[in-house]
Amino acid sequence: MIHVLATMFGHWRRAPLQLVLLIAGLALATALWSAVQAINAEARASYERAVERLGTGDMAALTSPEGTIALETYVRLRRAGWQLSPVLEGVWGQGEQSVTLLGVDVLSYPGAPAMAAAAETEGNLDVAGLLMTPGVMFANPGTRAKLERDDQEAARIFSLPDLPPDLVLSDISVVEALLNRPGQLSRLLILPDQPRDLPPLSARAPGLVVTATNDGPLGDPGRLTRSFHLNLTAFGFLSFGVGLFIVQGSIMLSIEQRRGTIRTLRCLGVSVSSLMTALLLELILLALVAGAVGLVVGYSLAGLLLPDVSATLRGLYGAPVDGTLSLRLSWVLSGLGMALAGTLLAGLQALISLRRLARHLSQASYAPARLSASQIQILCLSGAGLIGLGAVVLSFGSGLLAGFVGLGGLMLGSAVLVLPVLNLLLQGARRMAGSPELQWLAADSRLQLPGLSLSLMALLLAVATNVGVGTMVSSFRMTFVDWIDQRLVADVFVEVETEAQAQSVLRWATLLRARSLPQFYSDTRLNSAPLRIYGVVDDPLYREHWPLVRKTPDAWERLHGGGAVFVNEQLAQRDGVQVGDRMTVGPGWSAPVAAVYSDYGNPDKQIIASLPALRAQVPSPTLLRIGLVPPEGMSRDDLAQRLEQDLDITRTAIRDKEAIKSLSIAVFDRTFVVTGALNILTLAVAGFAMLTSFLSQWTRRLPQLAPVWAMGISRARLAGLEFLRSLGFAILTFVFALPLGLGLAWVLLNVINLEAFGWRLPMYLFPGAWARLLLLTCLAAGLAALTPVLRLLRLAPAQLLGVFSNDRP
Amino acid sequence: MIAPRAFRVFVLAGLMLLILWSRAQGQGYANLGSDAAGFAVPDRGRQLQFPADHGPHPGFRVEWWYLTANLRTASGEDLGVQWTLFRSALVPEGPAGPGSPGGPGGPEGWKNPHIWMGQAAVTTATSHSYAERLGRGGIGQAGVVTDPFSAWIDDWSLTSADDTLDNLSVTARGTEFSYDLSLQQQGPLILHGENGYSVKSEDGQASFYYSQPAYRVTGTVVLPDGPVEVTGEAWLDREWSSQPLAADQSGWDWFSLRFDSGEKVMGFVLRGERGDFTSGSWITADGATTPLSPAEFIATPVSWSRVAGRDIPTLWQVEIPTRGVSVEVAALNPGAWMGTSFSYWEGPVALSGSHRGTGYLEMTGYGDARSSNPSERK
Amino acid sequence: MLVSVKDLTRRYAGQNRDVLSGASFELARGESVALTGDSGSGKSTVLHLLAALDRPDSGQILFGGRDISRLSDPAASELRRGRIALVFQQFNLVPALNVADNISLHARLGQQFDPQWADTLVSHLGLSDLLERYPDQISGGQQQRVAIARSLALRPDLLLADEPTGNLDETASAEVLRLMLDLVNRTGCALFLVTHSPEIAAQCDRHLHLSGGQVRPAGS
Repeated sequence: MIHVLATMFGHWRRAPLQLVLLIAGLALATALWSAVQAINAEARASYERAVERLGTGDMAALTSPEGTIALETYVRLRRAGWQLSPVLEGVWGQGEQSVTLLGVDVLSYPGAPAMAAAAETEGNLDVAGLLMTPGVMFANPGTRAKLERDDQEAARIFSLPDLPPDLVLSDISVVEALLNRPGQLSRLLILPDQPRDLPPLSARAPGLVVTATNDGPLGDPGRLTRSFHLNLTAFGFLSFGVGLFIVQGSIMLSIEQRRGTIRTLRCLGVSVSSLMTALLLELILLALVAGAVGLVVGYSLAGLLLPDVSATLRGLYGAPVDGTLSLRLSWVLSGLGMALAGTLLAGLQALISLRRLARHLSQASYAPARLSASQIQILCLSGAGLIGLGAVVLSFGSGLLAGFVGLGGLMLGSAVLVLPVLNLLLQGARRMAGSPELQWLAADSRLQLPGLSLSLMALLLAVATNVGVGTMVSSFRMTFVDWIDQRLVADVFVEVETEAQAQSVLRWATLLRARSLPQFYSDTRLNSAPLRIYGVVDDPLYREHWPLVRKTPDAWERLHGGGAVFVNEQLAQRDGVQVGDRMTVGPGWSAPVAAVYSDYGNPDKQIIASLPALRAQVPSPTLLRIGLVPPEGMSRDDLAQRLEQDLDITRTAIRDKEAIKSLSIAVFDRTFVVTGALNILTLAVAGFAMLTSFLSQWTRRLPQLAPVWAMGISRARLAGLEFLRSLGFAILTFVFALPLGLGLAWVLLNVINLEAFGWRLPMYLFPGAWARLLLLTCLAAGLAALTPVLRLLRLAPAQLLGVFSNDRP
Repeated sequence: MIAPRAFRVFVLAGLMLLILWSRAQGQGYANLGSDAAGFAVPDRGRQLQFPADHGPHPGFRVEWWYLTANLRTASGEDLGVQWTLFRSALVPEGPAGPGSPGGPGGPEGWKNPHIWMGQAAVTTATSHSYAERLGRGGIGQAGVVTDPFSAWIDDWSLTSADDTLDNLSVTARGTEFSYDLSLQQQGPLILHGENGYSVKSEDGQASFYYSQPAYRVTGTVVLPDGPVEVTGEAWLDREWSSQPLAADQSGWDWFSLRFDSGEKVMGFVLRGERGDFTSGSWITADGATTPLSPAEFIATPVSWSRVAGRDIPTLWQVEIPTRGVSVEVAALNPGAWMGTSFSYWEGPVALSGSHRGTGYLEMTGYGDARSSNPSERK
Repeated sequence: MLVSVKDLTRRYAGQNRDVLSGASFELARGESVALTGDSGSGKSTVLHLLAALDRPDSGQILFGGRDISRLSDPAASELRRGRIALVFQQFNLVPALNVADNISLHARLGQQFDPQWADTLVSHLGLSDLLERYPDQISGGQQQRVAIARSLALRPDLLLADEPTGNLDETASAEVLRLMLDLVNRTGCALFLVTHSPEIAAQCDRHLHLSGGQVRPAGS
C-alpha cells in the first residue's frame, strides 16, 4: 500500500503547479465558506452572549394593548401562581443623549446574574446596593461614557459590555423613579418553570396579550437578523460549491495524467481496491492540508470583513456584534469537515473513472464523451423540473426560507440547463458557420461541453448571483438616494437641546420669514415593539416630497383634517396594516391609516400623525430637530450662518441637507461592502474553476487538435481559436445568466427583502453594470484560457505527431 | 438555567446567613456581615405580645414562619410536608412611609427593603419534591398581616380566619406537587428559652422564638400520581432576630420530636469549633415548657447517607438522660435534600427506642461537601 | 520531379546520433514509393520532413522546385492545407465531426472541395452508409478508409501515409491498401508510404529502405 501511495503521489512531484492549483482551489472554497461561518458564528455568539446573560431570548411575554400594565395586575397574576418577571421600559433623557431604560426585578429577571456579577466586580457592591435606592445601573462602556459626561449619577452606572448600545439596565425601583412611572410595567416575561394546575391567564388578566417572542431591546436579535445570516450562508455555500468544481477538475486531471502509472501498477498486480484506497487517502490528505490553509485564509478574511458586517448589522437591525473575531474549535472542525466532505464529493467522479480505468486497461482511452440525446433529455427535464419547483415554492410558499429554497430551485435548474442550451446553440452555430474552421470550432466546442459543464455551471451561478445581488443593491441604493432626497424635506436642520431653545429657533424663523418644520415625536411601544410617532405640521413641502408608497387620494387632507395617520412600510408589513384600516396607535388612540410611506434603514415601526393629533395624546412631545427652509433670496449657507450668529447655536448642531444625505449614503455603501466583496470573490472562483477544467481537458485535447493541425491549421491559429472558444463560452454563459440574474434580483427585491426588512423595492436595470460584468467574465474566461493557449503556442510538433502513432520515441 | 440560580445564591447568601445561622456562605457582604449593623436586637426582658408578634418585625433583620407536618395517608403511608416563609431586610429601617399591603414597614412599592422567600416540600419514603418562591416586599406579592392572620408569597399561603394561629389553612404548589391542609391547635403556644428569648451561643447571640407544636392536620396532598387524603400533626415555629451565629459556628442540627406519650421536644445543636452549643425545650402533653440546659440534649450521628454529593447523618441517637429519653431518630427519606437557593436537609423522621413517635429534622452547614467529611467529626 | 530530397540530416535533442545523415531520394508524380526500415530508424522522420511538420538540421527538400525545408509554421500549414495530405496509423479523424464532415474538412480548408469528387470517393470506398456516424462509432478499418477519402478529397499533389494499416488486421489492411493504391493511380498524385512491412512495400512502384541514416533502394 505504501508503495502504491508513494507511486501515486509521485505524480504531484512532477506537477507541482497542478498541486498548488488544486490546494489553492480547495483552500479558497473552504476559506470563503468558513469566513462566512466565522462571521455568522461571531454574530450569533454576540447575540447569544447578550441574550443568554442579560436578555430573555425568545421567552414569551404578556403585554397590554394599552402599552402599560399596572403593578396590581402583575401581583394578581403572581398571587394566582403564575411565575412572571416584570419589566418596565422607557426612554430617558433628551435627543442624542437619550437612552432606553430597562427596569427589571432582579429577583426574577433571567439576566440578573450578569448584573450582579458586574456590580460585585466593579463596585464591590452587595445585594442591598443593587436593589435599594439610589440603586445602580448598567450600560455598555460606550453608552456609559456618553451618560457620564452629563450625568452626576454616573458613579452608579456600571459597565456591562454585553448590553446593546443606548440601553441602560437597572432594578425596576430605580427605573420607575427615573421615568416617573410608579406602579407601571411594560410587560411581564413568562418564566420557563410554571407550577402545576395554573388558572388560565385570560381569567386573571383578560386585557393582556401573550406575545410569543418579545421585541424588547434584549429580545433575541438573532430573530431579526436571521435573514441576513441566511443570506451570508447562501453566499458562502455558493462559493464553496463553485470552489468544488475546481477540485473536481483538478482531480480528474490528475487521474487522466496518471493513466500510465495506473496501468503500470495494475500490470504489477496492484488491485483495483488498493488503487481506490490510495486515491481516497490522497483525497483525504489533500482535503486536510487545503482545509487547514483555507481555515487560515478564511479566518483572516472573516477578520477583514467582520467590521463591515457588524456595521451592517448595527445599521440595519441595531443588533450588537463585536468587531473582533475569536477562534472556535467547532468552527475549525466544521471547516475541515466541510473541506473533507467537499473533496470527497468532488473526487467521486475521479474515483469512478479510476475504477473504470483500472478495470479496463485496454480500452481506447481517448474516446470522447459525446452527449447523447437521452442525456440531454434528462438534463432538460430535471432543469425544467427544478425551475418549476422553484417557481411553485416562490409563488405559494411564504417566509424567508421559502424565498431561498425557491431561489435555489431556479438557480440550480438553470445551471442544469446550461449544458443542453449551449449544446443547442453550438449546434446552430455549426450549421450557420461559413468557414470550415468555424464549423470545426463549433463542433469541437460541443465535444468539450461535458468536460466544461461543471465550470460553466459555476460561471453561470457566479454571474447570475452577481447580476442579481448587484441589481438588488443598486436598485436599493437608487431608491434610497431618491428617497432620502425626498425625505429631507427642509434644506437645513437644527439640533436643539431644550424646549426653550426650540422655541427660540421657531420664533427666529418666523421673524426671518423662513419656513420651519419642527419634528415633534414621541417614543412608545406597539405590540411590545418600539414605535416612534411623529407629529408633523401642515406644510406643502411634505405634500410635495414625502415618499408615500400606498395612499388614499386625499391622504394629506385626512392626516391634517381627519385624524388619520401614515405608517411606515415596516409597520404595515409586520402588523399587516393596510391603507384604509383602522389601527390602535396607543392607549385610547385609534386612527384610520391614510397612507404607507417608505422608511429605509430603520428597523423599527413608525407612524406619522398631525401635530395636533399627537399633542392631544402626548401633551409635550419631544422636539430635537427643526427643519428650516430659507426665505426667497437667501441661500442655505446664509441661513445656516445667520442661525449660528443670531442664536449662538454651535456649528455642529446645524446640518445641511446635502451633508446628511452624503453621510446616509456613505453608511448605506458601507453596509453593502461585504456583498460586493463576496460577489467578486465568487466570480474569481468561477474563473479559477474554468482554468482547472481547461487544464484537465488538456491531455484529451491533443488527439482532437492533432488531425486539424496536420491538415494545415497552424498552432498559432489553433491557439487563437481556443481563446475565442473560451470567450465564446463566457459570453454565451453570460447571456444565459443575465435573465436568471434578473429573476434573482426580482425575488431578492420582492420576496427576500420584504421578509427580511419589511419593505418592497422597485427594480431598476443597470446595463452599464452588465457591460462591466461581461467584461469581467470575459477577463476571467480569458485568463482561464491563457494557460492552455500558451501551452498550445509552445507545443512541439513532436508532441502533436506523437498522437498519431503508437511507437514514437 | 444555572445562572439565575447562581444569582439567587448570591442574593440569598447574605439573607440565609442569618436564616440558617451558617457563616459559610456569607463572607464579604459588608452590611450583612458580622453584627446586627443597625437592626433591632432581641431584648431579654421583653414580653411577647399576641397577636402582634404573629406578624412581622421589620426592625429585625430576619424572621420566619416555619411549618412542618408529619402526615399519613388513608392507606398508611407516612409523609412529611414543609411550608416556610422567610423575611429578610436589606437595610435596617426603610425610609419612613405609610407601610404597604402586607409589607412590614418601609415604603410601598419596589423601594421596600424587604425580601421574602418561600420554600415548600412534600417528602414520602420514596420521593421528595420541593419548590421555592422569591418576592419583593412593598408590592403585595408576599407578606404577613395579622388581622386576620395571613402569610403568603405568590399563591402559597398560611392563613387564619382570625388574629390567632389556632386554626390555619396552608397551601403551596410546585411543578410536581401541591397541598391544601387545615390545622387545628391542640394546645397552647409555647415560648422557648427565657419567655421566648432563645440564646444561640456562648457569646450571647439570641433570637425571639416561640412555637405552636401541636396541630391536628387534615387535608389533601397532590403528588405526581394524583391527590391523596392525609391526616396527622404539625408544628409551627416563629423566630426573629438580627444577629448572626458566633464566628466559629458552621451549621446546625435541629430536631422537633413528638412522642406517642404526648410529650414533645425541641432541641438543636449548633456545631462550632469551640465545641457544640446545645439547647432545647421539653414540652409536656398539656403544653408546659421547660428549657433544657446546654448539656441535657445530646444528639449523636449514627449513620450517614450520601445525598446530593455530600455525606449527611440521616440516623441519629438522641438522648435526654434527665427525662429518660433515648431514641433512635431515622429519616423517612434520607434523600430529603432541599436543593433550593440555599441548600440544606429537611425531612420527616420516625422515632424508636425509649419512646416512639414522629418529628422533623433540619440539618444545615453540610452544604459544602468538603467540610462535611464525617471523619472530621467526633 | 515532384519532390527532390538532398542530403537530409536530422538529430533529435538528447540523442547522440543522427537519425538521418545525408539521406537523398526523389519522388515523381503518379508514382507510389514505400519506405521501410527498422524500428526507430527514422522512417517517420522522413515523412514528417516531407510534410513540413518538422525541419531538417541540414539538407534540402524541393517540392515542385521550392525548398520547403525551412518554412515557418504558417507557411508550412498553408502548404499542407492545399497540397499535401496525410494518413496516419491512428487518430486521423477529428472526433468532433461526423464522417461526412471529416471527409470534406481538409478539402474545404484548402478551398478545393468538389462535392462530386467527394461522392465518388465515398462510394468507391464504401462509406455511403457511414456518413452520419462519428469516428468513435466506426471500426478502425472504416476510420482509415475515411482518412483516405479525406486525403484524396483534397486532390493533393503528395499523399503521405505513415503505417496506415498498422492498427488493422490482415484482411482490413489489404483492403485499405488496395483502395489507396487504386485511388492514387486514378488521381495521379504521388504516394509516399512508410511501413515496416515488406509485403506492403512490394505492392508499391518503388521500394526504398532506410538504414544508418541513408535511404537506398531496397535489396541493394
